[in-house]
Amino acid sequence: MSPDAPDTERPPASPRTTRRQWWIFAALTPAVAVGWLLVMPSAPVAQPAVFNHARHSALACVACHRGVESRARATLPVVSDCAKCHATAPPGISEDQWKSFSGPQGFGWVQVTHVPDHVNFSHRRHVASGRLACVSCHADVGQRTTPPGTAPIRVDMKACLSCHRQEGITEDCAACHR
Amino acid sequence: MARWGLVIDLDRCTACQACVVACKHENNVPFSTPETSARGRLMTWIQLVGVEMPGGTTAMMPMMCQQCDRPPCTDVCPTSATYLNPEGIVAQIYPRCIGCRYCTNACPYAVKLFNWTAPEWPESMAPMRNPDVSIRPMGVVEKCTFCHHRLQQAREEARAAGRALAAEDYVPACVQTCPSDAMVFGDLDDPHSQVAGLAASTRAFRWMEDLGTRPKVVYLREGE
Repeated sequence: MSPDAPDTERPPASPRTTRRQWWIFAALTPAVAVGWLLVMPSAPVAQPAVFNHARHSALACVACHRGVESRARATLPVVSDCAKCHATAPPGISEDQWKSFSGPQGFGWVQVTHVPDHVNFSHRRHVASGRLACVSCHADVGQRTTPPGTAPIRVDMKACLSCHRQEGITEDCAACHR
Repeated sequence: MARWGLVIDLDRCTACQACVVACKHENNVPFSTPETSARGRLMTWIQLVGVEMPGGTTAMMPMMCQQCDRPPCTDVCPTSATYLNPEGIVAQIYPRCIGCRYCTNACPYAVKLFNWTAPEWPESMAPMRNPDVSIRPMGVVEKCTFCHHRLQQAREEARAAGRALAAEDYVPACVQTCPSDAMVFGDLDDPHSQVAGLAASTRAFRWMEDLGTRPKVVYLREGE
């Protein structure tokens, strides 16, 4: 068949079918969009081990999250941190699990609070020099009984700037953007 | 507040390009191929440019963002993604940049670079990337920042040690690498600094200074 021959085999499109299809499409699009916005960002991640922050509240955050006061990046605890107090597997963790966590892979905690790559953030600058409390950005993590699956609060540039403004800290873009 | 400036002694510069390599490594600047270079899309924050000098000799000038005190690029930026910061560094804020390339055209030194593609490195080089500098995405303009991240770190170190920031604490990668000590970096507003002294010498000139851009990169001409 030549390309410009009339296509006689296709049935004429029914106006009712196309209208129904349009309605389905029109209803589905916002439903999917709203669903995506509601479900996706808050989907909690599974942490490798049970951990009760509240039961450890007698300890300072820096006891397990080392580097908070001395480095740009804070760390997530490794077994040797726990072993300072726990001689054997803590309750809720089997001996086999405990053994595997002691291996080279470590716990495999999933980091839930992220700073975008283009932000030059330093824990030391905020905690050691700025005397900012951990709860300012990490909210109630310290009172939680389960390990966090999502970031406890959303820290955005507005939050950074409101504090910087209040405390008279630099608002030069290049001071934080890299 | 300091006004950071750089002096490059063309008498000492051997055009070895150690600064070019150091800059690429420090700032995660991706590689370019001869093909992309031929299309005018060479990615390098600093390169050596052959310039004919009075007297007929050719000088190889390391050319990077001249950190103008009156930068033509910031005037045309519609989103304030590029601006002159209080310490005299022409900053480039990538998340604000919409990639219109007005600044690349306004810059008389042609040192602002547009990312035509997402940056790529050989896989074996992935762990070598500098975590202190972000990877620029496709569609934004980038340029020399006088290794501004080093200033932030130096300031933090000084503060942690409980002392004021000294000019020696902050040195860009190109200056640190230069094997012939042709580059001197420091505070131009400090009359006792080496950089201020050299910038005031009779050999000092600024590139295309007749345009009125008032660069803070100062060259010292050869053979006098």
